[in-house]
Amino acid sequence: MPSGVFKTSYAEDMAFIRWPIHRIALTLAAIFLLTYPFVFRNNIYMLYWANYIAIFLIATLGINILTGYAGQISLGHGAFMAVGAYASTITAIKLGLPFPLTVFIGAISSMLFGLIFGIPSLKLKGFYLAIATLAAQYLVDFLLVNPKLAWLTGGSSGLIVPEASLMGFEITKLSGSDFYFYFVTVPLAVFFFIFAANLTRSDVGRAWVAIRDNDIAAEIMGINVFKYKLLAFAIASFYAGIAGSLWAYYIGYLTPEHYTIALSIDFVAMILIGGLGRHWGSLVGTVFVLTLPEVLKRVIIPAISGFVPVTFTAESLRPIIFGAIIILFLIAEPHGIVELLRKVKEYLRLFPFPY
Amino acid sequence: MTLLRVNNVTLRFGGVKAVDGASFDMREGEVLAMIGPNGAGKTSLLNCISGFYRPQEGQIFFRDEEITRKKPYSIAMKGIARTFQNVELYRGMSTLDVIMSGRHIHYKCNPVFSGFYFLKGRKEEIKHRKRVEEIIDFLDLQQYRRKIVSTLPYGIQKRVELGRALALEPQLLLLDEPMGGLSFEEKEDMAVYILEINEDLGISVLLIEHDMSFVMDISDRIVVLERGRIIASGTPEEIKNNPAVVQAYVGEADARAEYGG
Ligand SMILES: Nc1ncnc2c1ncn2[C@@H]1O[C@H](COP(=O)(O)OP(=O)(O)O)[C@@H](O)[C@H]1O
Ligand SMILES: [Mg+2]
Repeated sequence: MPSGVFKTSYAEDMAFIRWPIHRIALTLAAIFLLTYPFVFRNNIYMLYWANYIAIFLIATLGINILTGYAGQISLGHGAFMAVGAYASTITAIKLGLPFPLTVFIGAISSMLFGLIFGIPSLKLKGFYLAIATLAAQYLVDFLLVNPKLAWLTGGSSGLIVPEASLMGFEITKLSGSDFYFYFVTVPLAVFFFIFAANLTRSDVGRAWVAIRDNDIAAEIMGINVFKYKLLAFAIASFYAGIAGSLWAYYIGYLTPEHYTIALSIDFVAMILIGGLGRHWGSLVGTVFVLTLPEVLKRVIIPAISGFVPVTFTAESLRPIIFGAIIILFLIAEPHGIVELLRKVKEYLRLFPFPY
Repeated sequence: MTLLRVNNVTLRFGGVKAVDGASFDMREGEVLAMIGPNGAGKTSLLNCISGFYRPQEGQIFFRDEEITRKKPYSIAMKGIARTFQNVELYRGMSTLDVIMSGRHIHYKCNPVFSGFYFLKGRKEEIKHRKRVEEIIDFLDLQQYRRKIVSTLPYGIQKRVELGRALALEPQLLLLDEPMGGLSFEEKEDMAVYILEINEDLGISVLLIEHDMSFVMDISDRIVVLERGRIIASGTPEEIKNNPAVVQAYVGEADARAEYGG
């Protein structure tokens, strides 16, 4: 075979789109994302939901790179998001910088913060590293409500976030801001999804998985393990910073309660449920975790209220159901829903006969 | 020409001297075998060379450059690759990815830019993929390309690990018991691979092996370790007739054979 043919076949072999079904699925996804805001043009609720998912998906992609791919457990992802949110809001308020620039500043600030809290990963692993990242969470919680810093952070009453304007167009102020913001959040989420997928299918991604699966062998095979761990922390917290900044602009105000340990644990739940080390898992997990409370409130609680004597609120049921689901997944399918779907697909492919 | 010089290396674990003043030279292009009874310190010495253990005394030179106490990854970057006594793969990866990961030190693209795959990353991936396919062909791993390595039989895992080490394009290859745990046929295959790696690819090989018949066949020279010390070195012929070695090693091999070891 001539070498030219080889070349194209490797390129095809490594492409995202390898089978016609991939092309069809991606086309459908693109059509869905493009028509969604127009279909729900007047449905603020559905637009809000899409923005909510898109923004948090960016953060979840980040923690999945760090934990799912590089194997570094973080209980501080909510704090990384907070640093981004506050950095962008404060630079917008105090310096009057434009929206895109402040989002970028938020991401860089979060990245630097994440790098600092990535340093313990030089010595600490697993549970111990998780505790070290928890320190990031408590440090941020502490600083944000600290009255001495209230001139900067607004203390426990928080901050009002300036309007986001893009190309002379105030996208958060206009009536229908949910609609306009969709065209910021969803393209960014798609971009960061593809970026993450490109990273993990190239040498960096293999280095991360190597570190996750066998850090000693990785180091001896020429991977600067510490550097790549820090890189994972940097990218994960950059993602969190983007998400935090967008979320601040989107909801228009900022208080410390948004970014507590509960949020950090939600992120861990998202990647556990969706699928560790799988980007589609980040999407599935984000949708699942963010949608479940609404499903509880609107469907499950009304349905069971006639049968059970105690009254449940979505808030009280949520932790119980999450806990149960996480335990279930850890025991039955540690690779999350995406792996479960893959197995179902595999089963269907072979049943009744393979095609 | 001397490729590797181990000079008076001593490694202690608490009170135990795992390696005790070991010195030997390795020439460029040779297959050098390290033999000795269990617990003699062979793996420890290999770990000192690849930087995983830091000897308290002595120096190690690779091409006249001192590498003692350097970080493992920077030693790898100088062209030293290895395999492990108990296969150390990345359990969640496919064979292809494990071998690709061995190309790491040859990647030039800034890691962050590989996020923009179509600018540069793709070209580089294709370039490395080509080299890796050559290795896959060389080691007859085609049918395992997409298999997750933790699901493969032990003998195949050993071959994948060898493939990962070759992907680094080392000048010196360290093999810790490459035939350990293999069937007789697999051992024969492995011996052929090692000879081809040495003769066709021109890679110098330092290996630890227990199976004396293979050691005698494939090595140019042998060093014998006992309790951390080098008690003899020479050609297979010289070693075979060295009384100290016969006593220390062959005696142990007999004992091991008796207990079915
Ligand atoms: N990490 C370690 N901690 C403590 N002792 C060790 C360690 N590694 C090896 N040793 C000791 O060093 C000696 C040599 O071991 P090793 O190098 O594995 O021998 P070999 O590979 O020749 O069988 C043994 O006594 C072993 O118990
Ligand atoms: Mg050993």
